[in-house]
Amino acid sequence: MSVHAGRAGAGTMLDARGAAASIGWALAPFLVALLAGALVLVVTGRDAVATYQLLAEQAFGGGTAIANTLAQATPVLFTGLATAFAFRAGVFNVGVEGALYLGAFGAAWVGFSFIGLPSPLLIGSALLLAALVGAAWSFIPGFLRARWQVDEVVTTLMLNFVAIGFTSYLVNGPFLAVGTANSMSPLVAPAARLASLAPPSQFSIGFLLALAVAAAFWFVFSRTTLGYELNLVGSSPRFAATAGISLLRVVVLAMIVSGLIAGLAGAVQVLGVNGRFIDHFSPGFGFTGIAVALLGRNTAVGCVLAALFFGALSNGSAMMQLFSDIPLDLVNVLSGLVMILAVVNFAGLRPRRFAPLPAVAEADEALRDRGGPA
Amino acid sequence: MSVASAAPHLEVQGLTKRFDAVVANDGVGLTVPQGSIHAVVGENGAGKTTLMRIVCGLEQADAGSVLVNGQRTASGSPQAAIALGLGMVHQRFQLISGLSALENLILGREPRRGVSIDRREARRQGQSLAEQLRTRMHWDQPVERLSVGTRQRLEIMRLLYRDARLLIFDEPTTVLTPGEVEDLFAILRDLAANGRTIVFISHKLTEVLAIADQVTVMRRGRAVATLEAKETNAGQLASLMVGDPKLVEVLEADRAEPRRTQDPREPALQLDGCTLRDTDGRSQLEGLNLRVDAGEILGVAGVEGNGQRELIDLALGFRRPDEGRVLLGGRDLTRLGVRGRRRVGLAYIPEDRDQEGLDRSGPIYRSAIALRYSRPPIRRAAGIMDGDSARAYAADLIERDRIVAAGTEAPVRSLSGGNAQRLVVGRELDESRPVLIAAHPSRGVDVTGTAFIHEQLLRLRAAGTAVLLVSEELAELIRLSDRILVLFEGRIVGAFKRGEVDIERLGRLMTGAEAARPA
Amino acid sequence: MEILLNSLAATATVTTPILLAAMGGLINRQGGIVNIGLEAKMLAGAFVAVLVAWQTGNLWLGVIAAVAAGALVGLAFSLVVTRLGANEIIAGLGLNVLMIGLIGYLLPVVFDVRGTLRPPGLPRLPKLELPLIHDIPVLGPIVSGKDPLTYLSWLSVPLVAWFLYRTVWGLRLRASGTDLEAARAAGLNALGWRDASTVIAGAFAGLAGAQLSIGIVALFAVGMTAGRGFIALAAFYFGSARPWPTAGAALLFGFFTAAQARVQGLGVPVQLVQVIPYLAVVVVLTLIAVRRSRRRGQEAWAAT
Repeated sequence: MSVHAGRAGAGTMLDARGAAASIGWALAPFLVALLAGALVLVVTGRDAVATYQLLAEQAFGGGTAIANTLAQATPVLFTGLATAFAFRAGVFNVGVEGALYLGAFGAAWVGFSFIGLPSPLLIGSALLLAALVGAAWSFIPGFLRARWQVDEVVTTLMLNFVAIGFTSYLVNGPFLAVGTANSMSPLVAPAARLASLAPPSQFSIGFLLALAVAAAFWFVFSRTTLGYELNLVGSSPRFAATAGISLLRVVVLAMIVSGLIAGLAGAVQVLGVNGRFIDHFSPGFGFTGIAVALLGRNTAVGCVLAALFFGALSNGSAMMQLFSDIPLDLVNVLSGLVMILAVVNFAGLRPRRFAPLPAVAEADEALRDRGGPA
Repeated sequence: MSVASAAPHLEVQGLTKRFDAVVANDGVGLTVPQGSIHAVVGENGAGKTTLMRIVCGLEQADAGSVLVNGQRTASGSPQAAIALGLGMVHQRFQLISGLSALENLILGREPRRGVSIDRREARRQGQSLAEQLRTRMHWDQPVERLSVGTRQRLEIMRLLYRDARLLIFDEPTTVLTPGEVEDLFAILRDLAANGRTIVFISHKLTEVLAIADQVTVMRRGRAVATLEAKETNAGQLASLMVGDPKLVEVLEADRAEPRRTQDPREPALQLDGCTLRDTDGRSQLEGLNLRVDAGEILGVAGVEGNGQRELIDLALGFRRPDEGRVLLGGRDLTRLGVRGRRRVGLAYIPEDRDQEGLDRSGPIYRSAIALRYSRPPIRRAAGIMDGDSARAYAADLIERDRIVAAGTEAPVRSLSGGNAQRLVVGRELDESRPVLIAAHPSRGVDVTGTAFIHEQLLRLRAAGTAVLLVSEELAELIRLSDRILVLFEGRIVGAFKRGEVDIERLGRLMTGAEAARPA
Repeated sequence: MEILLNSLAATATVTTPILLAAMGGLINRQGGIVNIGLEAKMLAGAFVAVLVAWQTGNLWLGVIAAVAAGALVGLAFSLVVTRLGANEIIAGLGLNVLMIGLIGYLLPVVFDVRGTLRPPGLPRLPKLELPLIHDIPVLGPIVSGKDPLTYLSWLSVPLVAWFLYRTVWGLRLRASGTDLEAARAAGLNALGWRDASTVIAGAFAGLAGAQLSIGIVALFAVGMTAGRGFIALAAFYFGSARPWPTAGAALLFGFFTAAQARVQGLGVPVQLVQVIPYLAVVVVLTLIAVRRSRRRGQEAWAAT
């Protein structure tokens, strides 16, 4: 049938156009958000163009500005990768914020408890503990999902608050720094600090660590058998099961790694920026991470670019606040819009990866249907 | 047929409907007199359900017309059909779980008192319907707690509540126990006696003959014959259902073709006394004994819904039997899951290739390597995957099996049905594996593709693989199988050796017209 | 003991926003959408209530405006989900962030204040003293002397129960929420009912916000919802989206919230107490899932 020949030819053409279309759709939420933000500015009597210009200047104008942008991008790059890792496997993990807090506390604890250790060892063990704690925390909802199909969205969401509350208790109680009015832990040892590589900015080795994680992320998904399994489970869980892949194993593993990266995010904030664990220190890094993952389409390169975007927004607006009366809440406006727009079904095309929940849930439903009559 | 004084309740003329390349209904004509019970019989894919869906406004026909009480209708929406007094009880009930029986009954046409529901009135109407059907209904129970038979009766009541005059039933007895079937028939007779018209889709001929006034036989999208039930018998109907003249050709051709058989025989796949029950405790498979030897193709014939899916699930390892054992190569592997069985060498061509055979949204090579990704040469040390050898393998597959594709990176979505199936078959049959389960392997595949797949199956057979072939295409079964078993209501009811296939008897066994005889 | 009584006395008022939002959330859930964005609608309601009450000098107009604001936000959110196919969880989270940002932006830019909007002389909602009950010892302070919205929230529970299970609308809403296709087949405008459930949830959340701002403190502060939207979510999950169990859960969580500030002196860790509702939801969901999977028997997918 001539249909075959037609399809074959169309295939190559579709790819080039498809790629361009893909990038177009990827940028759409970002552009629409900027437009909407501009609208808000204009309606409240501010100069949108000038504002954005100022924002860009503050974010990228000069070495220190760029360094600070990268520093601000660091935590959300981590959380973005953490979230994307789970999303790729079809697991809807919105609990990165909680794992971040626990990892942060773990790193702080190592930092202020083992003061005598030499720097590389101290930093290394702080990071290690943070990763382990984060991984263990995320294992719980992962296991509940894999074993009993407990809805991971609700559990991870709730567990965020549990983690935040728990660390809050710790830092206000047993680990409260003596002699301070605010709820903070003792300072970590100087040997545990991640020094700034470009003072006076806060750009530290943490950003490079995040890049390394991004590289590892890319490597796993494109060059390993584990990545193959994760991809397959995320996009066709029934096929994966038929091919003999253990869904339980993959789902749990995805959550563990997700939590691990989130833990590192927290550790880097503590060791590189705050120098101690501060109650409620995160302005929603975990949730911004979701936006990063979505905007970046769950890919390593995408997450890096999206994280830079958010880092620029964050840094630019903080600085912008000093030179104008535009509050930095504008960032939240843009951030929230991006999140919403990123999951809108533009023109009827919904890439599966954006909505991991249905795929695996449908597979479960299909199984349950098999066991009973109509 | 009684004196045709009034216009027929339902008439269909020249109805044609295509789904892509498949012609589901081909110029179908049907006449249903007022107040009759009219059965429509046929195998899977004969077009019965499609026909009724068009009548009920759930699908649009490409050509032809539907007349209700002599008036042409625009095949439009379900609401229009309801307004004309048509109603259908689907195979999968449309009851909403979480709501009570009463709530399901009245949904959309609730008796009101102001803004609240007039429960007393609703209950009153419901009770009168229940009395009409001579049944007891637990109105406040959530529907999912009711038995299947009760739920079906609720579905009927829903239609009556909306003043349906023509009721269509799609395979209503597949989910019922024999006692419940009797009850249903009593209800249907009452309804017909009270002036309603019944259309009844089924593949179970004994039942059909017990209840219907007329029977229309459909085959391959055409209405082949309409007969008075009194004037025909199961055998004749079965022949009409399956007796494609082409089949007879196939049979002749095969008888002329000798075939080598393996001796001695080693059992490669065995199901030993397997019983499988669903969550309500009904048995889906009952005491199944089945054996496929190395170098043999065992065909399983039967109308869909008689246990084929469950049989495959058991053999594959998706479900464990409630009783009985599954053996592969003589070893009891009942407790082994899919992963283990794949490792031991089980190959599988799934019925639903889009969901279970391929990763539709990914590139071709990813689907191609699904069984090989964890072994060298694709898997190197420490879990690294060699992308080049993955693509090379996929490219080999494409070339060897002449799959028309734009390259190993092209999305699976871009493949036509036939080529997608070639990919699945190529991947599964790539190495010699001891056992292959093939479920409807040529579904949605054109003639060349089918020939290719059959060639592969025969090649495997010659190389010593045991093949379990489940198919609804009798020609395929006859051409390929060394033996054919017939599956009906979860039991093996008959067996045929190659060269001894009696098509009429096959049809009767498939439709329950003939009682099971020891195979 | 005194702490207990104090906590109980405060419970009713503290529970109100949680209860109202939970009622809205459960209607939404029955209508087929998990509303993660209750925080946003509550915040919007709180803000609008203060704003309108201040500008018009009428508290009740403020309340009505808050309800309208919540409903409007709910409608926009719903359309994005039902017509544009957005994932409701992520859209809800995004909405929360967006609202915090938007209001946080408007405060300094339009009203020249940062963080808190405290219109001078803005009254609070009046406190109603229930005759007779007011004088009963112990019970009196717990039940009487609360603002009207609190009493309204109590009434809302039987009202919501009646609406969902006894009215035509409630039935259609529940049907559309459970099975979109079957509801359509029965002739309902299923998507419309889903949208309606979200609008109702928004209205309730807006009302909750109004109680928070002009009911209790007569000001608006950006952080004032403090996670109550999520506690309301926890409440209706805990209550399986049924009115009376949800109300019970809301009351329980409200009691904890009221008590936590007061037990601090006793050495009970406040933050751990705050965590209980969330933990409870996880435990309940797990138990339900385990029981359901036991009943289903075989779990081929879960088995390796």
